[in-house]
Amino acid sequence: MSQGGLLVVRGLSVAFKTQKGTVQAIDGIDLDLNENETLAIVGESGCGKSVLGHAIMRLLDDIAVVRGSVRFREKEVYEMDTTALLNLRGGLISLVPQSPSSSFNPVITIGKQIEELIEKAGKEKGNGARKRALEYLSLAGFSEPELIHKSYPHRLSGGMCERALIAMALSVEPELVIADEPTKGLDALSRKNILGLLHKLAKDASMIMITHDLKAAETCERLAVMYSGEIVEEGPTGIVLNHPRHVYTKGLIDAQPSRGMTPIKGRHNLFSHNAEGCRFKERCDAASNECNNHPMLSKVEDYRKVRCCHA
Amino acid sequence: MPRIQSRLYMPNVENMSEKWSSSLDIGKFRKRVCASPIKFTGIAILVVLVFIAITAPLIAPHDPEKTGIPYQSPSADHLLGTNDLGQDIFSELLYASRTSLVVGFLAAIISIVIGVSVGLMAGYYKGWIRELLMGMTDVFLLIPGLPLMIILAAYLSPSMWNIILVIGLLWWCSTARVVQSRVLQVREMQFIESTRALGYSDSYILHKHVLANTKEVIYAKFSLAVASAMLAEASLSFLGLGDPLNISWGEMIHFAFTRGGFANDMWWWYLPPGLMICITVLAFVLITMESRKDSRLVELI
Amino acid sequence: MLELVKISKEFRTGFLGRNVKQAVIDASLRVERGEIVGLIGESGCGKSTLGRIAVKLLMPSSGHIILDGADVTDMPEKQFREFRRQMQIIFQHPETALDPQYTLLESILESFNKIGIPEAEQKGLLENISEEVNLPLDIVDRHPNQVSGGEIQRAVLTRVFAFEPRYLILDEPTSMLDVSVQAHILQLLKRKAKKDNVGMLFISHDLEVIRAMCDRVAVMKEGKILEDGSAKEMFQSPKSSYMKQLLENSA
Repeated sequence: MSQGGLLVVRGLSVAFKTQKGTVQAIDGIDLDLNENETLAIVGESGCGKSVLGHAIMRLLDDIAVVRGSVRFREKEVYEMDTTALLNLRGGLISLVPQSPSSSFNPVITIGKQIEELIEKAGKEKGNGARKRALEYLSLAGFSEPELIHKSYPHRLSGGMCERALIAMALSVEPELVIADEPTKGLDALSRKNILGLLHKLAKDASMIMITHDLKAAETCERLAVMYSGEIVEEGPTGIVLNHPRHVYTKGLIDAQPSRGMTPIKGRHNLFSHNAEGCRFKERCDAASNECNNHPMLSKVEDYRKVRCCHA
Repeated sequence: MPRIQSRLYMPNVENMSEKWSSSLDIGKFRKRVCASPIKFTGIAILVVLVFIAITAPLIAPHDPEKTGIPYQSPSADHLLGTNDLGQDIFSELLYASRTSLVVGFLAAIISIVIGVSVGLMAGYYKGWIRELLMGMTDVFLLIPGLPLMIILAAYLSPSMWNIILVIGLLWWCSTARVVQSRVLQVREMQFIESTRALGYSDSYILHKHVLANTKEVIYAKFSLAVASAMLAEASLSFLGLGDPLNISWGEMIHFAFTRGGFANDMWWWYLPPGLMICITVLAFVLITMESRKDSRLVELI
Repeated sequence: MLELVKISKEFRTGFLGRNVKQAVIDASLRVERGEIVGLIGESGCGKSTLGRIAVKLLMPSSGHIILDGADVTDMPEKQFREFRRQMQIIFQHPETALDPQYTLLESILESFNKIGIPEAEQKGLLENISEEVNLPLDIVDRHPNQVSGGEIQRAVLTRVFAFEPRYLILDEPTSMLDVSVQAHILQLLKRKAKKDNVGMLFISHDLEVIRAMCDRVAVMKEGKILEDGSAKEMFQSPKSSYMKQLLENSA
């Protein structure tokens, strides 16, 4: 992966200070994303995947301690001034947030909110913005975009809200889309629609899809698996899912109902980053003495990295 | 829910007992004060005020009924001078805290009890019960409160109890509204349904779950109700509708106004009761202020 | 056997109930003890409403609920309480499944007290069930916002299993959980059904979960049950076009 990619993340760490001690939400993340590439970040609750998405856009508030660097188009996001940052968010990088129903302002119509963003991003003004909003709503699969345009968010179901959110995020033609759990809580039909829609609308952009759903992750070209704030395995999606090298990836795959529902033993601990050595060793059957040294994310094949000394 | 867990074996039963015994622990206390210093400032002011009210006969330098030389300026003997009858204003100020606080608390209790019952019922039950109760609340909300209170207080004999009743019976509507909207929120949560599925009755659920989840709102509303009841009492008393036998801060200002305190520019007569009202109301408002919680953090992780 | 016979449910909204919405139309379903029946459909198809009607959290507009031969549809609440213990329901959203004001233990004891288990036996029972559902005892004195969704669902199961229910309605019990936690809980439910002969109605929109869990499956669309049959039949040779469509989409 070249240094000149669209997004280059190096050694990104985020810690939250809580009353019970410091929680290292993400720890030393390295990530490269090329133009027009789709990357899925998969992990379970508490692994830090959402924090990573927010950290890339510098959306975390001041209780978070952030270290490391995020470079978007060779510009350091954490050194940008306010104007550049506002330009970046909702212009160059668009976020499709979690919980669709609460992500719209309930007292403004959907259309108005989309137009506002388009105007803010400086794409179109006035009537042009309205036209574009309608165009994206119909691209998002609404047969009556006019009706949705003048609706208030509570009139829409969860799946419809998600589609409207995607239309809004993509209406500014961003270079990078970060979709945070786009399929959470949706049924099979809507899930398929949403994934199809995301890929269709974002075909000219790069995308990071943050998800816990391996089925959704399958639709992306590359896959990174996170556990306890670290990337434990990364590579082309098909290869990783068919031939997982990390025990945790294997566990996730086997835990799916269609693959036999074999649970992963033990439970995830928010403070496991305090332990020495491999963070997964407590839950791993293959754990040995070697696992007391913290493993590095190392290349095992071309284009593929695993953080496990047994891989 | 019965607190039987301490009798039950639990792996960290030591932790539990620690939790109970430590409520008196100085270190823990300091930690809690630091967590919400504003709230504790309010509580501290209130404790001092209640202490003054209870011990007024002991700490007052003079009997407030005793007459002497009128219109004296503040001196070592009479800290805030004397009034037109030569009574010690400082002692009167201390005694007046009793009336003001009693009126405030009792009126607030009446209004909260009515407001919470109406709000709970209207929030939990659907159909005509809600329509009736909320319709009634709306009617009461529309009545201009202070003018009606003035009329009622003027027609009824001027006693402290009448004032308490008048304020309490007219000031519950906003509580009912707030409680009702909170209850509407709580009753949609799934634990209400699952508790019903366990076979518990409506009254149990209302009491143990709905009320328990509404209590923060009620506490806040109660503090504010005490404050507004005291202000209402002060307004009525200032207009001369107070109880002449139980002097309150509002009445002190009234007397200062009618008996030449203002005319003679005796600020030590009318200013202190006004300040006391402000401080007490401030204390209650401070108590209702919540310390910022880092609940967002939990969501993010 | 828990039997739902020709259940209909309409909701009235608006002024004087002018707007009528048919949530469930003529739905019949039966759940034998020891059997897991899947109820599948899109969101808003009425499957959750039907689940709530089965335990009488909602009253049906018409139709009958028959529990082990007794018609409990119009039974007064007092008399019904005895039956209520035999059928329990578990909901989807762990974050509001337990009262945030109380610790997990306090919520669990609420059900123990309802059953009337003497204090001396509560400890033993808690240990037994928590082992069965894999609830770590060192977290029971925490409040729901301090534990994970999976742990809350385990506490909910503890609470419900204490009743030794004959029938369980599971309304998307794991759709908000992570895959590895979901696997734990699904395995546990499956074991429970066979071991204690519990009949379960498993409501879900996830075909994979239904396929892995259920003996029989019913498909619901717009308030009507379109088709029901053995899981094998339904997944291999569905009759209704809707089921075919669902299968295609999940592939």
